[in-house]
Amino acid sequence: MKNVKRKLLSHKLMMISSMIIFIMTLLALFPPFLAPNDPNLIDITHKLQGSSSKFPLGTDHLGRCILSRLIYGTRTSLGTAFLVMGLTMMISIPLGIYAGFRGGWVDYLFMRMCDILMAFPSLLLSLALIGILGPGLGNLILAMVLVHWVFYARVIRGMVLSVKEQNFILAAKVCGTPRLVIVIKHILPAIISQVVVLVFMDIGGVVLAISSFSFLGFGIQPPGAEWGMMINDSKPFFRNAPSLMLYPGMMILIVVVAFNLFGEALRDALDLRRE
Amino acid sequence: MLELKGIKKTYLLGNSVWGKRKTVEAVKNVSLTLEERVCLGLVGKSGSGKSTLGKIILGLEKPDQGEVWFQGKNLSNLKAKELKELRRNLQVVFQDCYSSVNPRLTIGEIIAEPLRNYERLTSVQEKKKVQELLEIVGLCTEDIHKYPYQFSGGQLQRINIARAIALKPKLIIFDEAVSALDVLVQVQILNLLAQLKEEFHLSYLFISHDLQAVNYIADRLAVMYNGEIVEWLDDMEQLERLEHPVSKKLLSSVLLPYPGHGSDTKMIY
Amino acid sequence: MGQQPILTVNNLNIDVSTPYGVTRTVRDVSFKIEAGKVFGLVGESGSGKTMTCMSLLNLLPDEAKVVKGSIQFRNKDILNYSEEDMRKVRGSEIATIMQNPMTAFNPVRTIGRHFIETLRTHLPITKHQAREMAVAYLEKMDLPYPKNLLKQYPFQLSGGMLQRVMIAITMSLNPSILIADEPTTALDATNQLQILKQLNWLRKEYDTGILLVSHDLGVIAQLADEVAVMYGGYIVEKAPVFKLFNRPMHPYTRVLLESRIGLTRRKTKIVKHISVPPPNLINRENTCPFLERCEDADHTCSSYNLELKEYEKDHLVRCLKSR
Repeated sequence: MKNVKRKLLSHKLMMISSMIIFIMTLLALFPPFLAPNDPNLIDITHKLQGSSSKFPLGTDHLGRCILSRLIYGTRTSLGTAFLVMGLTMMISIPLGIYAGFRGGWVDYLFMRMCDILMAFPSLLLSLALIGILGPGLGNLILAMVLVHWVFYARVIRGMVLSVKEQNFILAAKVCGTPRLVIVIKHILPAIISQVVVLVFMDIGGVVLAISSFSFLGFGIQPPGAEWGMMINDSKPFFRNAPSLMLYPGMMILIVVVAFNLFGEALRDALDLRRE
Repeated sequence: MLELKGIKKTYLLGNSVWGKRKTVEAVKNVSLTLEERVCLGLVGKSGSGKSTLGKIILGLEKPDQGEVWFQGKNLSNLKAKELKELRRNLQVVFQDCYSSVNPRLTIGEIIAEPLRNYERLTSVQEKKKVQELLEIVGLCTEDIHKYPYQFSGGQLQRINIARAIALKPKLIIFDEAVSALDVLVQVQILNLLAQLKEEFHLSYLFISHDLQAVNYIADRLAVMYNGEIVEWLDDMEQLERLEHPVSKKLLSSVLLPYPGHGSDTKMIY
Repeated sequence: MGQQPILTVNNLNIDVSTPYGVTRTVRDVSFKIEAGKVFGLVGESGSGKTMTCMSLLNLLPDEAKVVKGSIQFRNKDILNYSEEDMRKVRGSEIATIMQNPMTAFNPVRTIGRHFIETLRTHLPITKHQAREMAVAYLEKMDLPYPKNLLKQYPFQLSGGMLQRVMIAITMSLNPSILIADEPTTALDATNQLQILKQLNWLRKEYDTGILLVSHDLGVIAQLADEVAVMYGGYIVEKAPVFKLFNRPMHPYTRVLLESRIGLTRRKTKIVKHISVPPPNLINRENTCPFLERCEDADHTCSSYNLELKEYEKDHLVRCLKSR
């Protein structure tokens, strides 16, 4: 009974979260068609207005359409998050597999490097890197990838270690399968589902991190639209127009929760299949 | 055909940075020879170093000392290409038949793996070869498209055997290959192995803790204890002549499947 | 004989629902366990041995259900027990030892902690008393240095040692029934005999009734007083151990006994080695489970309704062709 309940629940969560993600993806892909106004069109005469037929969610302190800025912001936030995750994986997967499969001193060196890098809080390290590189979206992505790949490579190395000692890998070695083929044919398929779950569970965190950096002014530069930056912009007008801060905050919340739930549902689904 | 000279293997336990690390001598100074078409049974308790020895012969572990000679060549100073060519004659079947096959591949792909590494076959030839192998080990040719979870332990072990004989090797190492199976299936697999040995002129190194199974299939016997070979027996008919206390203990702890042998009356208590 | 059995299983039927249909895992199984006697259950994997054991402890998985039959323990039906009553019975009255002793222990707790906690959940004693009791029982099991053993962790012991610790813990509660599900299968040959000796000692010393489950005829032959052969969910033959081994009547029992290797050398004759999968028990009719593999079977077999018949005194067989 418990099993059935859990399955159903996980099913429902999966439906809801994947719907949200689908809508968000649409928003990110086609903002010009979906946004009612130009997100960067400044019109001081209409500043800080409430909702109207022209501006469904009102305008900000420079008279820009909030809804349009939110929609364009989806593209920046999600796009950047996926770019960061993608680049991170491009480094982490090969390196993690190499360290785990090769073992020996390569692995030892890799682990010590991880220890050193992970001794610093990642946010601090990213901030320091951005400080060196200078603010801007490109540098933000670079800094986040440079800081985060270590963590994922380490996790992937662990997955490889648990698969590596399975007999079918040994049998493959004995019957002469080249190492690269073993990795591609036996190891990668065995860990890829776990990696996908990991990516989805963590992408919410990346969205949050990007917004934080933009809030601090290190990410995308004005006039580009981004949720964290929108919150920062609305700080002085909090008393008169709290909705200005509320809308982008809600967007961040929804996206982060949706991705976390999706990741968890995905993990449950994969676990069930294994049973 | 196979000769081991003074093989030694020590494992490090834990990684303490300070002071000396603890070590375990898994194999100490083992030498043995194995002639063609002979099945050598290697018995011993778990932890006696039997499996490590098997892995060293297969090249999955490197010995700290000693040499492995196979077909007249020293495996440790061969070029990679020669080594690969020699290794095709050396195959293995493990105890755990479930983890020995990749659950994501079909039976056809599993058995074809060694063929793809050594022989250039068209897909039609490959399929024909795999079907032949399936028939040899007593499975249906239709099984080629099935996945491992659709098979029982005994059938999976047959699939592992099919993969091991695919390249027509000279020596196959069986690491407790029948220990996890039901008795009836054990006998079937042992009979299959005996038949294959005659048919393809194979040599076996049969590693097991079960003297009954070893006695059934082996021509010669080596008893291993604490990383050393403590006794040899060239003629399996003379099993009672085993002298070393370890061998005697192994012999006396065989559970004979006949009531009255050692039950109630004979049991010490 | 003449003794009152402690545990009586009557007409037990267990169904397991799978995604492919309902598996008739256990069918019409009946047996008795008497004090100080060992009842052996032989069969291949998938024959329903383990499910039978689980039902005796009321520990069947969610998918499995007892559809018919009763399990009488001291004249009360266990199947009607509440979870609370069952917990009291489990361990103290009906105990189990399992195939893999490693999984029965929590790896981060010492042997002593396992032992003492088990004792104290069932008995009203102090920690100190429990420790002394643990040492005494480990000594009885012939385990060396029991005091040191209590401080060790499960991974520091070999499989055979752990299994003996397991038996010691089980026996300290002095249960009247011990269910040993493949107690030696995961162990080395030298340890197997040791365990069997200890089980033998137990039933003599404490008059414990033992249900010994194994696929290994060697184990059964050494210890069991009465044996039942299971195949495809049915008990196909049941007899005292000597009768069964000397005069097997069911074709499956005969195949099983013919496959004994013991310490004889392999004969030149090679039995045909086409592998036959175990019988498919999903939605199966009440026909003989051994039909497909039986050499004696003919057209009368498929229409025959299965029944366990007494051919000689105490020798029951479920086959039309038994000879």
